[in-house]
Formats: sequence, C-alpha cells, structure tokens
Amino acid sequence: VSLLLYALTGEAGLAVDELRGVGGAPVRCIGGRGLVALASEHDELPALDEETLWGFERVIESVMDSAAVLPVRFGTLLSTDEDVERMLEARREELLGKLDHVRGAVELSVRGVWPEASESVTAGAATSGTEYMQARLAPQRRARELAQRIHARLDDRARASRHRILSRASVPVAAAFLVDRGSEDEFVRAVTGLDAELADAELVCTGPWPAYSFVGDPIDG
Amino acid sequence: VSSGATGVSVEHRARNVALIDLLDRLLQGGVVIRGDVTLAAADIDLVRLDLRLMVAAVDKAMGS
Repeated sequence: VSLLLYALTGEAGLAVDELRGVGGAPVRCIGGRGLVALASEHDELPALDEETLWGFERVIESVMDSAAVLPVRFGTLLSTDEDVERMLEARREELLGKLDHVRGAVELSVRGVWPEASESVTAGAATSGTEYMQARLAPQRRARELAQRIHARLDDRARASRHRILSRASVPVAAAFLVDRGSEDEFVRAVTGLDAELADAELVCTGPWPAYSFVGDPIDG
Repeated sequence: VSSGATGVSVEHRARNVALIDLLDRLLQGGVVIRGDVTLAAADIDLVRLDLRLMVAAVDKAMGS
C-alpha cells in the first residue's frame, strides 16, 4: 500500500469525508498539531492519464477555498502514516512559513503566445555563423521583452510572480502570479488590457490554481 | 490581440491550454517531498510526450 500525497494544510478540521481522489480512492488527513497532509491509499499505482491528473487537481481545488494549502508535487508516494508524520515534523517550520506565504492567495497563469508560428525565423537561410546565431537568438530576445512587458504591467497586482522562457518559439513565455483572493477579476482585466495593446502577441490566462509555482525551494519572493 | 477565432476553437484552445498549465504545475510545481517511491520517470515521460502533442494542437487552434 502506498499513500499518494495531494496537499499540506494547517486546517486540522477540514471536512474530507466525502472527498474522493485519484481513481475514486477516499482522501483522508494525516498529521496533527496544525499541520496535516491530504492523502489517499493505493494498492496499485494509478494510471498516469488525463483523468488521474485532473482527479489529483480536483482534490486540492475542493479544499483551497476553505484553507491555505501547499500542493505537493504530483507522484509523491510515502509508505505509512508514520512516514508522513515524520516528514511533517521534520519540515514543520519551513512548511508553516510557506503556508503563510500563500494564505489568502491563488495562482493565475499567463502565457504569451505568438499567434503565427515564428519558429521559421530562417535560421536555415542564414549564410554565416553570425547570422545563424542572431536568427537563433532573436526569438529569445523577443520572448524576454514580452516577459518584461508582462511583469511591468502585472507585478503590482500580485504578491509574487515568476516566469520561464520556453524553448518552443510559438509559446515563448509561461508566467505565474500569486494574486490575493478578491483581486482576480481586476488582475484578469489587466491581462485583457495588456493583451489588447500587444501588436504581435496574445496572452492566455488560466486559473485560479493552487499556488503550485510558489511553494518550491526556496520560497519565491 | 483579438484572435477572431470561432467559439469552438476558443473552447478547444482553452481546454488544451488548461491541460498544459495543469501538467506544468503538477510535474514541475508543488512542494517537493522525498517520497519512498515516486511515480516512475518513464510514466512521466509518456505524459510529456502527450504534452508535446497538445502544444502542437494549441498552435494549430491558434493558427486557425
């Protein structure tokens, strides 16, 4: 038997009796002293498909409105309740700090997209090594400029933010923002406003998500 | 930028983008805990393969 971990929370009295996780497995709380893990038991590892991934996400979403939660990296399995309790105890201070960091906030995703695939920026047509490098680097510079514009407009509306430049030229920027609950609509309006101003890029916003991007190591400022 | 896409392709795209955002977060985000076992890396690679296909699907929807 393995325990699949979904999330950690400080709310000990969370109602999870009706909660079903991956593969319909019942979800229960493990731990105490103001720090518990949500987990489900599995004799066999769940199939790694779309339904499983959304099933995992649904568990966290169903508690995130009533408690601050730290989503756990998908696929984390521990053997026994005691293992979970030991982990919670060993990392107690760090985990409670992270809970404070995300309490009252949700994560919103903003992706920058070039509407027409600009991958063919003719690196192949370059006649010299220098031209080839410039053709290769131009999309990255463009992506960094787009990321800067996204941050310049949206950082003031978020508790924290981060982004990655992706190697795929047509979807160059993936940004995440930690936004106070109640400010989501205002944030999305700001995204829509910036999207309308961008001549060559499109912004796609999804969420609210649990704060996946803001609970890694170390704490993101 | 208004894409001028039809309702169907917007919905198709939103679904695919949400799935990509989900995969990104589940597989690269979250608190990292050293488990006794972690779901096999080979399985994760399968999901990544699907992810690449879905990114392609998004590109297609956006180009329309």
